[in-house]
Amino acid sequence: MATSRLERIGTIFTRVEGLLTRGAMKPDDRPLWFDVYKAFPPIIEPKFARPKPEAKPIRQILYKEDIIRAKFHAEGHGIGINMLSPAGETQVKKLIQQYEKLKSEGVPENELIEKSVAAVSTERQLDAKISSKNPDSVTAQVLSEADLKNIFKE
Amino acid sequence: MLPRFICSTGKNGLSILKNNSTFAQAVQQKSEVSEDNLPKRKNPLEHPDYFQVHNLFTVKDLFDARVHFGHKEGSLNEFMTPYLYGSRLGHLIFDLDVTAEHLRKALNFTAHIAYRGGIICFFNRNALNAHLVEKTAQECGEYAHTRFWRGGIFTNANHQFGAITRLPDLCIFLNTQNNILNQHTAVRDSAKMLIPTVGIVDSNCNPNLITYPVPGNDDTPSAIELYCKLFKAAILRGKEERMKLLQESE
Repeated sequence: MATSRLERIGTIFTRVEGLLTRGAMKPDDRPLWFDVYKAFPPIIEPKFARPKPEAKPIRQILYKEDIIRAKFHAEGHGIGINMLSPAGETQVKKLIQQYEKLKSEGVPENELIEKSVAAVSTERQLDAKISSKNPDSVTAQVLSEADLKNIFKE
Repeated sequence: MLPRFICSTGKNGLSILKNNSTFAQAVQQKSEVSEDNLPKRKNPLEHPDYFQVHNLFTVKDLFDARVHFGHKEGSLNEFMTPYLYGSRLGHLIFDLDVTAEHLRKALNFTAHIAYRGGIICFFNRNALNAHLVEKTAQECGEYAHTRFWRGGIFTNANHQFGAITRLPDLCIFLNTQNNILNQHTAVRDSAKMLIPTVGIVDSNCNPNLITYPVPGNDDTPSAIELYCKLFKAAILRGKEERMKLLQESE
C-alpha cells in the first residue's frame, strides 16, 4: 500500500487524501479511520509545522483569602493533608473557615491566628480516626490500629 | 476478537469517499432489499454523538480526578498555552472546559474506531500506571505497550516480525513522553505510518503530532484511572454497537 512517511508535512489526513485524489491509493484501500476523521475532524488540525500560538502572559490565579493563607503558612501551620481520604477539606481551608468565623465574632486581629489554630487542632484530635478509600487494604488496617498520639511511647 | 470484514464496495472512484463506513453501507443496501422489514439503520457518522460519549463524564469528575494540574511554569511547551486556565503560584492549571471538549472528541473517535473493528493500542511509559493501563487494555479486548519501545516496531514491522503485520488503527497515549525530556518514539512513528493518535498531553508535552490531543494531567494515578475508565467505556460501547450490527445483518 502506498503511504507517505513524511510526518512533518501536512497531517495524516491530508497525506491520505492526496494519495487518494492522485490515484496512488485505491479508494477501497483507504484507512479505516479516514471516514471517521472526515466526519469528526479534530478541533485544531494536527500539523507538525504550525505557527506558535500568540505569546500571552499566563493569568495568575489568586484569591482574596490568600492573604490569610499566607499568614498561616508563615507561622508553619496548614501543612498536612490526608491523601488517603481526598474527600475531606484541607487543613488550610479549615483554618481559614475558623479564622472567618472568629473574625465575625469580633476576636481582635492579633489573636485570630493563634485562636483559630487552637480551635482546629482540638477539632482534629477529636476526629483523628482516618477513614481511607479502601478499608480492606493493609495500610488502612495499620492506620486504624495505630495510636497516633502516643506513637513514640512504649 | 471480533471478526474483521474486508469490504469491497465496487469501483465508484471518488464518489465512494463521500460515503461512510463501507460496512454500514452494505447493511443499508441489504435492508432496502428486504423491503423495509428492518428499520433502516441510521448511519453513525451522521449523528453528532452516536455512542453518547458526552454523558460518560462531567467537568466535576475531571476536577475530582485532578486532571487540571499541569507542571510548573518553567517546563511549559509553547504549544500548550491555548489550553491553560492560568498559573496557581507557579503551577499551571488547565482549563477543564477546553479539556472536556477535546476529551469528548477523542472518546467519540475511539468509539467509532472500535465500532468499525479497528485495533486499538494503549501506550504509557510511566511505571506507576503501567499495570493499570495493561489491565484496561485487556478488559476491553485491545492491546497495550507500556515497555521500552524498540525502534521500528511500526516502521519496520514486516521485517521485525517476519510476516506482514497489521498495525493498530488507533494509538491511545496516556502519556506521550518517554521520560521528562523525550517524546515517545511511537508518536512520531504513528504519524509516519498514518495511524491516528489520541494522547493525553501535559503542559510539558508537544501536542503537534497527536491527532486528538487531550490537555490534562498525565502523571497522577487518579487521573490515569479516570482516562482508562472513559476510554474503556467508549471502546465497549463501540463494540456493543458492532455486535448488534453484526447480529442484525446475519
